[in-house]
Amino acid sequence: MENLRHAPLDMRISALLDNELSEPERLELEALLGTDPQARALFDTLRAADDEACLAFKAMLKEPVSLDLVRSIKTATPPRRAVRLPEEQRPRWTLRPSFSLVCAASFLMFGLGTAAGYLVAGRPQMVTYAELAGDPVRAWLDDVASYYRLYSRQTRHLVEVPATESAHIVDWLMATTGVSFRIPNLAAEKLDFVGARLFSAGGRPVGQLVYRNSDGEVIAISFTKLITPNEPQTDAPPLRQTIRDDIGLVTWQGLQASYVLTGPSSDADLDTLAARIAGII
Amino acid sequence: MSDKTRQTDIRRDLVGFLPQIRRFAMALTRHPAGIDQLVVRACEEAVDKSHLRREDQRLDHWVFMLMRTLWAAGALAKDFGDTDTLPQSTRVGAGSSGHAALDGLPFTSAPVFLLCAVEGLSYAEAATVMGITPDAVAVRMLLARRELSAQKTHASERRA
Repeated sequence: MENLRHAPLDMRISALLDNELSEPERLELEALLGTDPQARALFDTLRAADDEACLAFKAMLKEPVSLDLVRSIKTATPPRRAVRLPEEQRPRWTLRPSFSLVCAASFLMFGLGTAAGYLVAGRPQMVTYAELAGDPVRAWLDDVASYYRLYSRQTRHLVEVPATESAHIVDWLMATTGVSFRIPNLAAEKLDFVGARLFSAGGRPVGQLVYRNSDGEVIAISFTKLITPNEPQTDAPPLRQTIRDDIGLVTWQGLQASYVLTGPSSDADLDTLAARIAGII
Repeated sequence: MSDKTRQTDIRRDLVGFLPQIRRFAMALTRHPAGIDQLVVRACEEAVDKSHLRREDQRLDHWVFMLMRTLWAAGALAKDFGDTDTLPQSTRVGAGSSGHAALDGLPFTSAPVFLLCAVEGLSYAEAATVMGITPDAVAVRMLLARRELSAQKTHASERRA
């Protein structure tokens, strides 16, 4: 307690009884109690009342406590707490690399990086989309060969439009392929015009004129819009013959279209025939 | 010490302090009917909130404070009724010499006198328990002593 120096005397005495006075205040008040009979009498009165009341309060502690009260407190529900289930002891592994371990790891990473760089640099070039797609000329020839192998074995369904509708064939295939052409008359080569069909090769519409020779073998002239090869061949021959199994293919290019003559690989005059067709188609 | 053990210890300690706790309840409420219920409520809250008690805080002082808070909040008011209108025969001091002094004290001074003069708390500690200032504690102590000395003088005069 502070500032009790100017408080009423009984309050100062009360504070003295409770040991709440500061040391100077206590000394000052005790000096007053030693010299002032009225103050001393007040002190004695208050202390006597204090002692009597304390005895009365202490007597209250001897009063019996009911058993129900004790039982209620002993059985008080403790607060719910989160239960932690026992867990398996996991081995603790802390990373404490030594200097030698750090050096070894560094050399290992360097070696791996070097090897990876060598492998990447060893490739001449990256794979391009064009590579994945392949050479368009080769893809076109592959499809033409496949269709030839399929349709050349047909008898009733060899063509879509028969030779009797030649005018319609020209209009139809010109409109579809975008290639202007004439139907070559190859009667001199003992080839009869059977008709025409349309199919897709290398992702392009391809018109095909179908002939049959005296042996019943099928000779087909296929054409499509000009295909530019991936690698320009400046000194490429005008006619190029390839053989795939039992199929012979002779390819050439015109001003606006690419052509391929397809026939049995056993036909020795296929290139000669192609040269003649190239001049009249 | 595990939590379970600490809970058990708190309940055991509370039972050990029951006479003091119950006496403070009497001084606080002056009503015999709901004293035990107030004591139970305070003890249950002490058990429930035992983890909130500071290590340096005495358990009995903490329960006193919880009890005073419960009483001030009026949580048990309907069980106690209006103390000021209680008939004299139902008051704490009725029929008990030990309660006579308590019954003669001013209503607000009785718990403060009990804390400081009997339990030995300082004014600051008692102020914390009662939620008042130390100066208010000093004033209430003075009022209590004045009343006690007056009663003593009156009793002496009646005997004479």
